Amino acid sequence: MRCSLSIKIILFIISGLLPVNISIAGESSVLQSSEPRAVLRVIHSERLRQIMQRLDSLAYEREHTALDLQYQRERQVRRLITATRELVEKSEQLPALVDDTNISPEDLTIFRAMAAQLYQKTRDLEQSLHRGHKVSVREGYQNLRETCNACHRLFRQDGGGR
Amino acid sequence: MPYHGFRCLLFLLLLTGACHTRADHESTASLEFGGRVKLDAIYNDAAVNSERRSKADLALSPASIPVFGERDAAFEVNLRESRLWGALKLPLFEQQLAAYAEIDLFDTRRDNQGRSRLTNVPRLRHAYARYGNLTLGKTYTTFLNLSAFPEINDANGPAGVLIVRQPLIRYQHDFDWGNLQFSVEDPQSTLTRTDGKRFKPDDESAPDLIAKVTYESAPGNLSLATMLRRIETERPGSGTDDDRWGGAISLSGRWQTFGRDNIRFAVSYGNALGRYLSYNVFNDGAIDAAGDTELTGVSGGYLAYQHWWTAALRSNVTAGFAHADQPENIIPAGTTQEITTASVNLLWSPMLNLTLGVEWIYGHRQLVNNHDGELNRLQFSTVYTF
Repeated sequence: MRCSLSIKIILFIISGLLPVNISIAGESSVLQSSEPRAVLRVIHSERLRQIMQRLDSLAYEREHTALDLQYQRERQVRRLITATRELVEKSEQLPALVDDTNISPEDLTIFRAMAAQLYQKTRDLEQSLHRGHKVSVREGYQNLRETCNACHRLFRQDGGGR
Repeated sequence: MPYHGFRCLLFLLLLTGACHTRADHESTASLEFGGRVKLDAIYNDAAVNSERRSKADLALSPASIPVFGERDAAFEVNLRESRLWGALKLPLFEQQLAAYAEIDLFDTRRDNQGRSRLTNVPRLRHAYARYGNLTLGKTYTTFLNLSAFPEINDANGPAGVLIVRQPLIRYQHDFDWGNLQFSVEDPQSTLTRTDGKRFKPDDESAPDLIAKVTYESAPGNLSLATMLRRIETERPGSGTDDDRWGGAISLSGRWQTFGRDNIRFAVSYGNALGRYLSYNVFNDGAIDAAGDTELTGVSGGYLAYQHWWTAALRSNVTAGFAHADQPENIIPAGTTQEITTASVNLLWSPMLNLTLGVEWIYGHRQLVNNHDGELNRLQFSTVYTF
């Protein structure tokens, strides 16, 4: 019993040192740091990350035919569209769901604009894949990555990455 | 014939260079070419036999792991897993008709003892067309979940792998949660005679029937496939037919774990699985002296884990097995009963289209009479895709 109380106290102290994780819905969450700077906040979509990783991994597939890979990419990009659309919708709900004292209106505007841009880049990539243009698919994917990274640099504690 | 093969390859290479990718009309037709160059340097501590350039020395074939006799080491360098492909896409009645063909250099010829020997003649890997939900032609069997195939240097894959390419007609229906596939595929039975030799009857009158359901989500996929086959032979002498219905089931998948790490697996069981599993290491059944067929129960599977050390450096650890309940009253005691493999590799991709890697593979084969043999292989590979 005493041991259990000690563990609870330790966990309470540790939890005070960590950022609070507030769930919005499903697989997305808002991380809100105790730091005053707004750049430490982020809407994080686990699903978005997993889809991007799966898209990345298709580049290393050895046994799929080129047609199979095109089909797989189209499937993943369709999922990406759904996930980014949800991200845009959640960014619209952000002030209602989170105590916005730590979120400046400017940051919120930037985040929403970036989420909308991400959605548009995903749609562009879908179009390129549909047309089957190898070069424009590569460029579309690169644009998508840059949009992801630009947002990560502004809103993620680790400054982005994969 | 080899000369003809070289000319064919040269023509395709020139075409690839000349066409460099497409006749570019967005809403009309497109023609695309691509491929890869794969260089393999392979050291086997026990070559499959004294024949140089046997296919089993280049792509691990556990059925060829030597059990008796001297163990001769062998070193091979080859480019035979290099591939060339072409894809044609045409808009047709508001849908796209896509045709695809792919070759490699793994064609084999058999000598008078049944051992496969490599030639330089290109081999057709795929030739199929896809229109809407239909796929027709030669490509991977529907029974296989290709995304569960591990990233390895060896051309054949682990024991327990299902990787067959054959002519088929497939219907696929996509859903938000995954897809359903149904196919009729080319039936080819392989049977063991009482002397242990492989026998391929030409008496099939029904196609292999396959159905597969795949669940997909962001972190991965899971597939459940079932297969129904009719194994038919003609009894020697009497001319009467002997036919048996058999089936098989396979569960396979791929799932992300931590970061980019993922796990891939397949497990299969059935009494008509023989030809589909581990490159036909076991036959579908055995024929007794009277010409009657007994189907062989076969099980197999593998588990692979991919870990990313950095953005470009990763390792794959794989283990696989396959086992056959061989009818000991029919087949000779020297027939293969069980195989196991294990492998670990380190792969590096300094560029997206270039991968270099080294792989260690262990293979073990056990016969019905419990004699066994093992093999260690070190394989360095460079793959450049274009």
